[in-house]
Amino acid sequence: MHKAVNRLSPGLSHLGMLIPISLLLALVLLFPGLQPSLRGAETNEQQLMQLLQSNASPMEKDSACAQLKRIGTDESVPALAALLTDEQLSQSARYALEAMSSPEAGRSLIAALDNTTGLTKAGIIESLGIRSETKAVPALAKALADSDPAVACAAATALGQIANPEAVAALQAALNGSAGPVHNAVVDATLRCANHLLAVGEQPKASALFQQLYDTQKEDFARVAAFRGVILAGVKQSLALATQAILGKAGPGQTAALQLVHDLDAPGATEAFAQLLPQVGAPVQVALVEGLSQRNDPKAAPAIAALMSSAVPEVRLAAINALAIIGDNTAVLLLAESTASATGAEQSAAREALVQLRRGQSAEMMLDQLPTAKPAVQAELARALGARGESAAIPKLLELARQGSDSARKAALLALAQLVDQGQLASLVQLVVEAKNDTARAQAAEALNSACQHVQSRRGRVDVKPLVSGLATGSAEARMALLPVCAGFNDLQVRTALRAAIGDTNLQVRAAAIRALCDTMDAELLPDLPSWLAGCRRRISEAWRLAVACI
Amino acid sequence: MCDVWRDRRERACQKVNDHYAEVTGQGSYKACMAYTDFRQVLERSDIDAVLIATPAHWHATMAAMAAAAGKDIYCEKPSAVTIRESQAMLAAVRRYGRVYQAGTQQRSEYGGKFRMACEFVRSGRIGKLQTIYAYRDGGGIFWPTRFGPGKPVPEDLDWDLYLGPMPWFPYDGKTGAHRFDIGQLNWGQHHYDIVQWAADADETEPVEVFMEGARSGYKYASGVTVYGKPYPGEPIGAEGGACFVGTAGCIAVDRNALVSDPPDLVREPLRPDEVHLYRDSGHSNNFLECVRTRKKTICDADIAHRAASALLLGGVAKQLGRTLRWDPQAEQFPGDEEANRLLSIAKRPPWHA
Repeated sequence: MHKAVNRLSPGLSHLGMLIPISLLLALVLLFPGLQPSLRGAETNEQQLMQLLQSNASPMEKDSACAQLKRIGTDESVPALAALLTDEQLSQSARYALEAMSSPEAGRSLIAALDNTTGLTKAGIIESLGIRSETKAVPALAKALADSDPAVACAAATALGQIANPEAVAALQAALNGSAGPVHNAVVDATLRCANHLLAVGEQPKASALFQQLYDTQKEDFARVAAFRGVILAGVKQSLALATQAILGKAGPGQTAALQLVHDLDAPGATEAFAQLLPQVGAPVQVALVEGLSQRNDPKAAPAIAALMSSAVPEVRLAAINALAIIGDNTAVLLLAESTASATGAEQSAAREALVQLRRGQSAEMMLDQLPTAKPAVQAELARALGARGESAAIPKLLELARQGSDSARKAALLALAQLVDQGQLASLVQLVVEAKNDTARAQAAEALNSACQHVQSRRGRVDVKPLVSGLATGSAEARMALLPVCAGFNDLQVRTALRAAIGDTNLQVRAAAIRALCDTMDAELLPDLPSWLAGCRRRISEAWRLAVACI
Repeated sequence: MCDVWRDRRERACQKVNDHYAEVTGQGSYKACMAYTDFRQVLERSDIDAVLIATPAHWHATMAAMAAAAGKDIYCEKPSAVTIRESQAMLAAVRRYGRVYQAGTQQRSEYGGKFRMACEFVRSGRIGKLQTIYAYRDGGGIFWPTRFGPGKPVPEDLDWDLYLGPMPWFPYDGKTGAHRFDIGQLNWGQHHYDIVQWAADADETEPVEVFMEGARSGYKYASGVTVYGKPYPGEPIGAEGGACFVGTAGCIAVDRNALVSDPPDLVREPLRPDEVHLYRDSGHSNNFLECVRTRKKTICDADIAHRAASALLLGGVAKQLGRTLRWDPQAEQFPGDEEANRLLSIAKRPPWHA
């Protein structure tokens, strides 16, 4: 669409000579992109000015204002200014004048104040505020006392936006004498001024203004805002102000201080906030921990770790979540033990924290603890190492899978399924071959199957030699466990192994081979079916299974 | 519960009361009140937080007023309809120390797909990030036709409050949430929120906005170029998504899928030594948790302002049909009066952000 518009735009002023301006305006309303640019727009500006000064309809004049917002110069300011006092079109004129950077536009808005009342005047005042018209301050200070609350509120806001010393003085003078919505607007404007002073580096003046508001205002929300400023403007006292407020009673000061915990920029802030933890109640502890975790500073970790023994579940949960972000190797055992003993949300959080932990030598600590920890902790460490993708853990996980308790072995195998690559598949096959019982063998085979799928997905192929070797040398039990894994391959060596297994003298091995054939994705095995069926002879069920496999 | 339509507010209010009557076992539960004018809600000192799901032209004004009334705010996207009102919203939230959450829930939800995509991109799995296809381009708001014949205002509608800061015009039968939109104002912030997150640009904005055909695009100081269109041939991205292209591959994400080329880029879990971003699995829960603890939300006012600004810059470029330079610190188009004039829209008194 815009390509077409761009092609049309250069001809717009020329078209204006030939067709009625109202038609042009209608076109522009329909296609905003048709509006000409500032450059080369003199003709249009003249036409639009003439329209504003004519008896054209309000719709046409409104549309002209909308165009002058884009192309208007000082020349069109008087025509626009004349509409400021028109209740219907004042906002249209402001739409153009508010955005013009020229001083002339500002002067016209100030001049219109004396000739307007009510919402029309309030709108003009709002535009003066947006423009930060310092020359309007005397008129705005006067308007603070306007009997129309809309005008007085707008004046207060505008003075807050201008925020020069005269504006501040006018607002301070109005703080005591105002009430209701106007008072709220004056407070808001004073806060704007104070924050402006803070932003431009005038901390003492800002601090005094914030303190005045904190001391004199009754509404909690205004006092929260004011105390926030008191802290931020406090320079070297900022941290002391914040910590005192946190240690104090619940209220605006404490709320404001807690909100600043996550990003207060003061030397030693993390340590100072962390030291408060043992001194405050549970709700404040939770807020402090959350704020400290968002500071992302590990110096808070020891104090937070100490809260893991809190009697309050919310505190423990917050501590676990925080350690996930700022904890290091020292948090490993704490989290693992929590994972093994906790339930519900705490257990989930602790498991996630072990996975997320990334500071210090966290992975090394997990590996150190893995061989000697209690079985439940071993299982949690194995789970975390797998989820973290710690391939350095493979040797110790293999050992745990061989020697560990049932729960630890199972977790180790699940982790190995995620971690092993081609080079370690033989070790997994060996786990199947050497398994001490059927359960362990089935779990190891499942891990091997899962690992093969991962390797296939990662590398595009799997070297099946370890699997084929296991089938060739393993016990009947091992062969039975390994055969289901074969179903996932389309490979000559596996095909050969399956052909051998279908003729195995052990009936259970042969049944396992048939089950593998039922699941195989290797179409090359299809032509073998008739001979297998013939070989089944009296074993009708085997024949049926094979036939079904082929279907 | 507040709505300019009587039927809606009463039905919604009844629904809430019925729910709590059932939950509490008190059949006469009537804690939820229905209001036409949100200012009456803001006046209540027993209300801590508000959820703003109004038409878009109200969002920033209402959010700023809520902040000034001491309320924490969850506000639907777009956070603002002009850059100047977005700044005003941000300033108000900061001034009052309020908790703000933008309704760009993709940072939290959809199984964490968006977060993971951003973590992978920022961890360098696609090599150096070069280009982002944001699927949708910029948006903004237009000055409506103000005068016309109009229709009778329905008895159960407060038309004046529906219009709010927009210029008054006769009721014309339309009260949708996006009737003043230009371009992708409705959905755009979802996309640019994720674009900015992935480009590590939460604290900045583009330095150039350009037009490619009818669509806006962006350049960042980091060298990343963002196109406001789908990645050619890539179906993923329509629902809030984007495609990130780097020197070693690309990752595409939306609410339904997270994919990469080569495929392995997104299969391996995030390693501890890679970039980890703010993690939360429930956007509204995150807001409520932050209301309780005063920590930063996952999509706070600063982040919302920057994402909205990226979206709205595209809207300005679309209106002007040309390339614009942008100063993210000063938040102005340097030396470009015409473009700077489009950063704001005069509001109808007594409304202001």
